[in-house]
Amino acid sequence: MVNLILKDILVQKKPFVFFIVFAVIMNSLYSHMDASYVNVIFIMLPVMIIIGCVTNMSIKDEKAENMINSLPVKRIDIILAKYLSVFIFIFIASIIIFVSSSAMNFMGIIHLERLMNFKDVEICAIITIFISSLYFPINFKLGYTNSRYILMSLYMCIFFIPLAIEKLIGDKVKVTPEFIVYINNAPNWQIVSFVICILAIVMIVSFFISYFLYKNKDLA
Amino acid sequence: MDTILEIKDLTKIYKGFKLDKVSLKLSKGYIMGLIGPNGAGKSTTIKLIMNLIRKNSGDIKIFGMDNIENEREIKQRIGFVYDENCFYEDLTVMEMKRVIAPFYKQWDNKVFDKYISKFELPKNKKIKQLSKGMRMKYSLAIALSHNAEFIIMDEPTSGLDPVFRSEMLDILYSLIQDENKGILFSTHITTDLQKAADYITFLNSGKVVFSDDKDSIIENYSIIKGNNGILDKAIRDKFIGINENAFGFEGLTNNTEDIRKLLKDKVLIERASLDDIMVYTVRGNE
Repeated sequence: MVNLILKDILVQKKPFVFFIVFAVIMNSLYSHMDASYVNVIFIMLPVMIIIGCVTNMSIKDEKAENMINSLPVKRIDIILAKYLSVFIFIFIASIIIFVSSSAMNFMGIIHLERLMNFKDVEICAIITIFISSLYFPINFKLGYTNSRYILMSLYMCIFFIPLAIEKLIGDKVKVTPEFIVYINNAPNWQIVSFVICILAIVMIVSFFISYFLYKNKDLA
Repeated sequence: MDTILEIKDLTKIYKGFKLDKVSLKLSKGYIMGLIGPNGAGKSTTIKLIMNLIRKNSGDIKIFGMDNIENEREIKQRIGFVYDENCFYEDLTVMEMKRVIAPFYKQWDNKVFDKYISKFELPKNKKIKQLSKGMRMKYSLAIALSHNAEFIIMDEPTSGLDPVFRSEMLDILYSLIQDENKGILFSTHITTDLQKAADYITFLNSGKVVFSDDKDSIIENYSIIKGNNGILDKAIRDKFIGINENAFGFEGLTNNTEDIRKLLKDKVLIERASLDDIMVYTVRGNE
């Protein structure tokens, strides 16, 4: 299991370098925006990086699927490792954005109204776990090639469609910032616990669907 | 004799293809060649052994254990050489090794380094930059570096030049000398098997035509050449396949003694090659 997760990280070496550069560029772009947008950006960027990692992992694993399945592992290990890798990606992506934005802020390259905090990481984790729980069963069933637009579509649905709707409707309904800010300012631990429970259920159901779909899949 | 692989009545049904009750057995210390035309079911059989696809029925036992129930344990002892590049192409030879090695309890870096030097593989080159022959060598080096007792190779020599094919067969031959390992090797290049294999399993249209030791097969089958005039219904029935042209006929039989008695000096009897056996069996009496 640990080896499978390590494998997912080792094959990401190059993309990680790319994501660091990407983070630096994005930091310099959003630093002039107002605080409400920074709230979204500190969630949007790590999620983007995590989605990039999941995409990259899916592309590479599709080509190497026979090799992975020839290793002394069971299919359930392969599935579990993919779900667990997401947590590692959440950690790495948050570190990249936190360190790059804080460093640039302290060096005076950008001027942020606030730094990335743990709440941003929590929301980023909620969104990522939700998106990957929807995506993984499809990926295990269809492979990356046949499901490549789904992950990006899910990302768009979460971030850009609400933004687009807001642009269309105007000031009447402020979908994106309100939604994110609402979660961001969750008033008490009950809401957080409720979200964690829902998320755990979604993830467990997703895991079993993935297992059911992949355990009897004939590999090419 | 310790059995490494035992397959009984293995069946896999696809739309338009059926691997039909395949049975075969391989013991330690031997090389078995799996031959057959394209689409005969060679890769399907190998994928079923490796549990890459699911069987419809039948049993696969490796080292006496069920290949699905004891998957982890069995795969620790199997070295698999793929028919195409299944590695992460962007990684270098050494990076890919670092990904794979931790999965095997008996991984031996010294053995890996020995094969990398022997095969003259560039350690820091990306896998996508390796030639097909080099990738095959690399796949073989990986398969041999964890003390695997059973090496499975799916079409390892296809698309490779004769020099490398010969080199690879020598490696397989030297591997088998310790009599503790077994090799299953699928190919449609039958000359490779004529050199290296002890047993041959011939698959055609998803069915086992024969699975026997190479020498018996070569002894049992003959190529008969003669004039078309001597071919009547009774004689034709003695052949597996006949090729007729204006100058006469050439046919494959496993009834050599009957033909010898019936036709005596009217025909020329030659030893059949595996290629002949495969070609005539596939074509039949069309």
